[in-house]
Amino acid sequence: MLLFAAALYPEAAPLIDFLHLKKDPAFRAFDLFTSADAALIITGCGPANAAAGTACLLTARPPKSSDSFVNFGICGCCSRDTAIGTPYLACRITDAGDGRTYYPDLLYASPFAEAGITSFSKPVSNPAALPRLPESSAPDPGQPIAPSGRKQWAYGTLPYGTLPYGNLLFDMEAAACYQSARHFLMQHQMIFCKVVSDYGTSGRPAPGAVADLLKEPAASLTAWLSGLPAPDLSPDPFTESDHEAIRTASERLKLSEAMHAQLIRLMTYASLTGHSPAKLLAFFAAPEFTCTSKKEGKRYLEQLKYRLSGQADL
Amino acid sequence: MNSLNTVCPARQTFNPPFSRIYAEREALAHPRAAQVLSAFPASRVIVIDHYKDVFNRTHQSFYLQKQSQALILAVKKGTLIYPGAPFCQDFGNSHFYYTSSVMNCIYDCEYCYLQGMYPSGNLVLFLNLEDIFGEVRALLARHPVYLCVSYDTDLLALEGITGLVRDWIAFAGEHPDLTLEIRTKSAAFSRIADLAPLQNVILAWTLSPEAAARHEHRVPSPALRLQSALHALRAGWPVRLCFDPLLLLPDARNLYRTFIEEVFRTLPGDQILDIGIGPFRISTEYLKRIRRSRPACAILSYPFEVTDGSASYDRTAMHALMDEVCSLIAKYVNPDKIYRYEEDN
Ligand code: SF4
Repeated sequence: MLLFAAALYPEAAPLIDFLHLKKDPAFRAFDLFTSADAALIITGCGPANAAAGTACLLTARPPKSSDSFVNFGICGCCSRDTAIGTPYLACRITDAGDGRTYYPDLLYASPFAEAGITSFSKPVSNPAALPRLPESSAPDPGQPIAPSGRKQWAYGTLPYGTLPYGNLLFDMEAAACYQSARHFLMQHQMIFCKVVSDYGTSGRPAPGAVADLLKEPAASLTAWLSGLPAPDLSPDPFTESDHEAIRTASERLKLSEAMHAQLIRLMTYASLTGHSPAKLLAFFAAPEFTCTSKKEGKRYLEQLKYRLSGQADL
Repeated sequence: MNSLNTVCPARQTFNPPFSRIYAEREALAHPRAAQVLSAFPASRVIVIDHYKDVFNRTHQSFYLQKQSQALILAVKKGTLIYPGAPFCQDFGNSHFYYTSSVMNCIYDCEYCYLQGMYPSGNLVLFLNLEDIFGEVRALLARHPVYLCVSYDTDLLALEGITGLVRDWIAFAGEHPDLTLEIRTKSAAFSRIADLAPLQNVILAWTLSPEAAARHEHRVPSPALRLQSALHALRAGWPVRLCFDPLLLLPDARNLYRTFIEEVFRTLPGDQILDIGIGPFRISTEYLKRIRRSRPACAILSYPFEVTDGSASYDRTAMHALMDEVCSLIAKYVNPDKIYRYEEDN
């Protein structure tokens, strides 16, 4: 499942279009657009709306370990060397409110450039006046350090110390979306894709222009996301008949909760070492099998453990 | 046996290892930073205030991060040298310490305790080795020191990037009262083959039979490790062999028997400094975390016995395997040189 948060409808429009999302009329607090394998929420502008909208989306659609969350939209840029319409993935997100910086994982290879972004609670009209980081004793990261002479910095060609909060980009939502989403997702599941729409001085583009500007980046983004792996980090080691056999054995052996957990552990090991839990436990499902007490059940469990831990042939 | 690889995407999907380098501002000022960064001209450097801002984040997938490991350059503060941990063997040394100038490892062994110990699969490299040297000097002023410098990582495997092993060896050359153990699963002896051997620097290879090595991802094969150990031995270095952790795999006795015969067909047993043998053991807390991170790993889902916060194989079965391994090795190596880790150590 892909889960998107966008501040305004024009930012969401290309995604709604590409992914064939339909508005969910039953959803009240925010506008929610969904399909079988995607959901998009329009949060409204600013950090409070972004955090509330993100939390609302991720509560309504509780994410699995194979899902991704994407905050998509426009941003300002501190450098006129960067073309309007350039999409970035955020590798560094600073909340201008408290100066905290967050680092979403960027594990998967992507077609996008990466940059840092600072989130403000108000629109930025004069980036030149934004606070810079205090000078440090560190070498100016804008200078090449590698003998190859290549600049290695994540912030384009601008020296780190000259960028507000050390970040090239600015917006109003990324930090709030991150702070909200991290309660629901793992670091690598959060993606912040921002497209440069202005340099902070010329005002934001009109809604129609935003949708046009985002069309191409949205196409690249959806293409990239559709090819992303969805690793299932909590795979079920059991088949339906294994589950059934475990339930039956647990009942018939009169296992306590702790003993039931032990049985699950044993059967997980069995399954991962190529044995069939359903077959191993078939004995306990037979009509002629009887077990009269928890104590007797425990003995059967011990026997199973003995066999499975390599001390007896299976 | 299965592993999480069955549910994990192919390696090409990931950004290459160390394509992201997070660097503390203070670390960037360290002379070693330029040397390390020069090994990665195409990597992005992301400036951070403190390594914990990245390393200690909540909700990280250790396992997935290992597929696209980031490098974190930092300056270590606070305690730099630690007394030897109870889970580790001291090989009869009384002033036993360890230090970690690197946190985490480039290899990915399914049973590795680091997965339970660290919140992140990324690799932290502390650049201020000179501060660690300072602390070792202070200890040496009081008594001889036996120091393991490759715990919580594999330092020799990283030598091409860090050069730390060379620096440690040079330091040990100036301090005869210091004995270093550099433990590795690498085949990277060639990185230091030009150095003159020192009798107070022990190069220790962890060896595993092929069936166990299948659970050690990205680690050089047992045959390559043996060749590397052989070169070190021939060059005159004290070489230790570690059969640790022993894994109770199906048909374990035969696996280890065949493997030990192979080891001593390659290495002259009488020239080995000593041998360490230890069963797989892990703190239950770590095991719980690792099982969450690698839920489909067969080795870790074994029904271990739990005693005093430590999980290990069934005592009787493991003792039998340890006895067997010890007596097999004793055919080639003086039994006085065989150190066996016992649970009640
Ligand atoms: S080589 Fe050692 S430190 Fe590295 S992953 Fe394997 S067990 Fe862990």
